Amino acid sequence: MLLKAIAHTVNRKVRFIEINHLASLRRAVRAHGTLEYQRPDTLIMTQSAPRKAVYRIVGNRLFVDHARRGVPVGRYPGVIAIVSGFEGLLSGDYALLTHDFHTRLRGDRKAWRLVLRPRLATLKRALVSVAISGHGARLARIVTRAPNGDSSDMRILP
Amino acid sequence: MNARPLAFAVTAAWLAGVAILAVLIASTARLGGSLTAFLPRSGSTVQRALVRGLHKGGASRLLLLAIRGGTATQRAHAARALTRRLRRDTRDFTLVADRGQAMAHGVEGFLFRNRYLLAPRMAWTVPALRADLRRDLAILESPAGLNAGPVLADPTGAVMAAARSWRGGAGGPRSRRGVWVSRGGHAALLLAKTRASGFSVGPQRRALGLIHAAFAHARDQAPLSLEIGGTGVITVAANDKVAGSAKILTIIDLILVAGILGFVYRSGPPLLVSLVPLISGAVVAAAVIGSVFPRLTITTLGFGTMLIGVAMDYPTYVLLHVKPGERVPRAAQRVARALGLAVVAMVIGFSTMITSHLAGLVQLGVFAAVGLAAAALAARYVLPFMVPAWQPTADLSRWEDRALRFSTTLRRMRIAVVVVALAAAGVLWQRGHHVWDDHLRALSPASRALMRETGRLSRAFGVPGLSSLVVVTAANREQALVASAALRPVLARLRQQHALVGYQMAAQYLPSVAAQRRRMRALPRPAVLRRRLRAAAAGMPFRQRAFQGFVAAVAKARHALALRPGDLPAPVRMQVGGLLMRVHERGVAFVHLSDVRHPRRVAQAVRASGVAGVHYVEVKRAVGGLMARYRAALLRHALIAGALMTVVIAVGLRSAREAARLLLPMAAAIVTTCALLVLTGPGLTLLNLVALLLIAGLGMGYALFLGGHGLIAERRPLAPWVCAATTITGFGVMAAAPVAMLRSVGLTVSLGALLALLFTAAWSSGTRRA
Repeated sequence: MLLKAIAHTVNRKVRFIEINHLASLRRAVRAHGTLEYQRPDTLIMTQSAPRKAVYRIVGNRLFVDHARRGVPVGRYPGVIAIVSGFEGLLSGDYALLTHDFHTRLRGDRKAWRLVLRPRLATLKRALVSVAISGHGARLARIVTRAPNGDSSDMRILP
Repeated sequence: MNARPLAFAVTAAWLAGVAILAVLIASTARLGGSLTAFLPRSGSTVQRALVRGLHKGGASRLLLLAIRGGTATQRAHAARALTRRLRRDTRDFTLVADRGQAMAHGVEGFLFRNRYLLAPRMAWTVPALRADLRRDLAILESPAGLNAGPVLADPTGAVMAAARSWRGGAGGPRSRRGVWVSRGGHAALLLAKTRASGFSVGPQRRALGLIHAAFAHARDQAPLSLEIGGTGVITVAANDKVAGSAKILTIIDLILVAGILGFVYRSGPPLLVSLVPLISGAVVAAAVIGSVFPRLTITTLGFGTMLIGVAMDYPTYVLLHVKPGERVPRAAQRVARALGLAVVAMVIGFSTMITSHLAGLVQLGVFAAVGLAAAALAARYVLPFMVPAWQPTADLSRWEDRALRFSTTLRRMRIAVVVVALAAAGVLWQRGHHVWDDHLRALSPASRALMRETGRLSRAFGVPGLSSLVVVTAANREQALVASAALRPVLARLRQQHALVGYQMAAQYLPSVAAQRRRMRALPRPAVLRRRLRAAAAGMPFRQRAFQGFVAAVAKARHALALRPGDLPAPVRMQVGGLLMRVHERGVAFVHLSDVRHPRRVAQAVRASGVAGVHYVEVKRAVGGLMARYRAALLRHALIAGALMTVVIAVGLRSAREAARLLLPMAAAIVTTCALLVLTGPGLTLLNLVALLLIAGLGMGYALFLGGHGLIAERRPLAPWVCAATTITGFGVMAAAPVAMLRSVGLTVSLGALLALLFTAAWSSGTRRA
């Protein structure tokens, strides 16, 4: 039910702020822009900083800006995890989510936190956990941790 | 000796002999069975390579799976579950994939380790590196940036460059919910590659069984259906179809033929021993082939047994000549000269095939000659002693009179035979080369629907079909690899012009040793590379230590050994093995082309490429050419054999005129049969030709036993009519088969036997009863 509710609300455009700490860069990457989910399997992230770019993830292909040919997200292990998570979460398809992740839901309807940990070895190499938290039907924050120490903290603005 | 103990002793000895030979065959003969076994194994390197490539090539091992029905989610679930199950079975499947990024185990590591030998990059300047680093920074600052450490272990994207061709370029089908889907999204698609060749019936049947069993589990009661396409499916279906209809037809056949012979003999034992000559011939011939040749092909066994099928007539000729009060061996002795002449003529005729340069034809010649000789000996020296005291009980004089009256009627119309034969010859003359249908498909018992289905699935996957390819021959494999790689710009241009959709070659997986060495020489020394990286990264927030792995990998690659086919990871090694091979001490590289739309333009471009040893091959046409060669050789030998038979018969009868009277009606029957088949069907195949040879053998028997020569004391003119009745019935049943191949043979033989009987009877020189 919760998933369905979230799926319903995220069907419109939301703004986000993201701070990524990467092991290979001297400074953190601060990004902001908008996120939009379109049924059944399209996620559009429009970044206005650090560079203007539109990332469209359709199925398992990532299209950058207006490129007509996408690259498989499998090229970037980090993305496939997030995509599986997002797609599962936002399409309200819990089965899809549990296929790839161990899930743990904490809290109550008012303030909840869903932690996803990958099941498959290939995903484990790319991802430690994805923690998604929110209030009611609102998705508020996604914190992702990678095995190499990289982390991402994305806040969805109301 | 008393009749009964003698019969038992001879029967027991014969059974023992057959059993020993059967064991010998089972232990020594290696049976090679497939449609490609039809193809000759001699000829130019290109032709030989083609046969090998068709047989062993990777494309034949692909099974294409489509899951239909249910909801998209159910299909995706089932596809993933099926993939998981099948992947566990590494003994039967070398690769199971349900989505694009699924690379076989071990392949990704191999690509990463050897990325600087496999990727085609030659430029390592500061501006080139700066362009790479800009792109890398964009990735790190994108949603894909997380955990993108590997990006900087390979900042120039060498793994991607190397993997692009390994993944097959075209990219395969689209994905939804993590699995491949068909164009309309109505089916989830999977790909499985078997370890065994697609033409091996047993392993393919096993693989299909495993897939269906796994699907039954994976489906989990969802309303889904599984569709499988691929060479293996066609192989198994064709085999089942032939085996299935052959089984039923054989039973009907046996009942009808046994009915006719039962009516003639009115007792059981002669019926049973009627099979002795044919079985003896087939077993002895198979044993000889098994011990002389390295491999007994299904073709030889099938065609050969058909050719010696004439031996089914021998028992009838012997047993129908048994007079009341006469013992069977005595009757056998009376007909021995006539039968002997026919057999000697045919054995000498078939022996000419041994001189052929086509291995398959040599085998067929040996099989037929040995088999016929053995069958005749069994009819003369074994069969009569199995039923030594058998006596005819049926009064067949009424039937005999009918046959005689009918012969007299036919003799009045003998000129009609000449007219019909001339007309038939005219038809064949007018058709010229269109008489023959040399497509392998004409012989394939697989249904067109199944082939179309497989073609459709292959296109959905972007799998290169086996319809056309480029064969590159050179002194060795390395040179063939270099030459095939030189074709890449030509093929890329053709793809741009939409003359073809894609191509697959060994050079995509493995660059030539020379190319790898060039790449190694272009790699900078570590100190130089570090300096250039610092210069290239100016103004970007990279930590220099993030490049440590990259610098070390380049340093290592500068002194690496060049990769050879044996170094590739298992699944790719097999793939390359099917694309690059040694054939008769020469290197051969195959380039599979998919969906060629302008064959002529492709052929021209390939020819104009100037690369030595390159041949564009349209498989259908090339295989047709090979078939035509085999067929032409068989026809040539058949004609020589016919001439030799005429000489032998003339010498045996001591009269050229009598020989002509015997053999010309038979020839007329064959020509007329050909003309009728050509007029009513698509064209004659190799199988029809073999059937025609059988008719020649049968017709010679009819002619000898209808003719007025002195070879047989107290001739029974009814014998050929009984023989013809059994043949026409037996093969007539086959003419009703659902499999085109069987139908064609059945029609040819029954029609030919009927015409041979009528024509020889019309031209027989009157029949005097003893």
